[in-house]
Amino acid sequence: MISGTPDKQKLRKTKMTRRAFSILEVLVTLLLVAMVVTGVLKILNYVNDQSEAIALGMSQLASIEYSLDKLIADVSSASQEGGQIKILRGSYDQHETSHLTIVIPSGDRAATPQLQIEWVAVPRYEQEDLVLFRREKKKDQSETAYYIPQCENLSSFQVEMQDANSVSADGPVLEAGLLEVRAQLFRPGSRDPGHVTPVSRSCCLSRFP
Amino acid sequence: MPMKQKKVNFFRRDTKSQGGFTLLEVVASLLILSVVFMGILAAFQRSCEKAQLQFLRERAFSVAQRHMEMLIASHQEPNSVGFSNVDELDPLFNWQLELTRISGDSSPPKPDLTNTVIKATIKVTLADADMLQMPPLEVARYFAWLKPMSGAIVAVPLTTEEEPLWYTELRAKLGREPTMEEIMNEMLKSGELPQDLFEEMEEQEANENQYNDLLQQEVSR
Repeated sequence: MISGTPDKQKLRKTKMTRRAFSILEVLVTLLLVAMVVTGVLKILNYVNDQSEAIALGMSQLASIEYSLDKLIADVSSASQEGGQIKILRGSYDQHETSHLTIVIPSGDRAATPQLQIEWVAVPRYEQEDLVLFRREKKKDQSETAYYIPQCENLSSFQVEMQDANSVSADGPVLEAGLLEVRAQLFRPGSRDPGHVTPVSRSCCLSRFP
Repeated sequence: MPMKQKKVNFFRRDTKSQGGFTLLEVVASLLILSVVFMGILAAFQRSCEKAQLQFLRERAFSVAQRHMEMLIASHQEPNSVGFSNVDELDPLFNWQLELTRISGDSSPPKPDLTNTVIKATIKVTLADADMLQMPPLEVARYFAWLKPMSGAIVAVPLTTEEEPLWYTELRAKLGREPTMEEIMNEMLKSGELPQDLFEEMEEQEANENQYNDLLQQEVSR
């Protein structure tokens, strides 16, 4: 039984009804918080992994596409200046590769020396992939011309030239020469030959004089 | 008597109402937080799909470009097999070639087709349509000529024939679509249908009618 003045009675009543969380409430709340925090962390981890994979894949694809476009540009400039193309094909450890040599002759002016551009993909030490290199060498150049890496992570690199009047793989007889460059890019973090991204460029040589 | 306003201090808690959050409030706030994070995840998922789509479009463009270069190099109208297939280098994609002859200017095509061009369209789609919703990628190019396929006189002949002038005039005169008999008579008048062929057709029709009558009699018996 509560005794005393009305104010004191009210204060005592308040103190009695002010209770803390029960152990069940605390446990349920902690469980929920833990679940939400775990979910958030998983999402962040997933987002991070996905972003990295996408960024890496895009940058590697952009790199090989830029390289192949540059190769086609080299071929087109050689075709316009009456150059010659020589292709050697081979393979390293089941990686098919090619060595393309473009020779651009001297121009009418004596100041323009003969230019030799090489594109070659060679295996990388302990990486099980190919790296594509480009070298530009002038005939009269006394200093060494270096092979400059263009892109890596390649599974194969093939350059194929189909001459005019030859029968293409699809059937029709070609009226003009057709240069086909095909590369296969490993997916980020993978060395599985079954998981590659094909990239190709074709160029009909009838475009050039 | 003026009312005395109670001052609210946001930095000092009212000791009398120090009850804390109820379990329901905590659960509700966590639920809201989860919904917000689910929204963020969904937005991220969509942006990932967009990036992947862009990635696929670049690959599809390579496929289209390769087949177009092949057509430029061969200048040959392909046979029925060469119009669509799964790409041999990138089997993720199907490619389809569409060739249409169109007029180069606003005038109707000449009989020798000198004022027409061939529009070649390479359409590339994903072989597995369930994988991702990628709209078809199209690369088009115009050709002045192509070598026809074996046995054909011209590559990509015009498929839509112009309506003859006499037919338009007859329809205008009648104010309706002419019947077959009216068309035949008009063709006979204009000389498009030779008299002997017309008689042969009439005889054939009479025979057919006679046969039908006999058949009808046989059935009624």
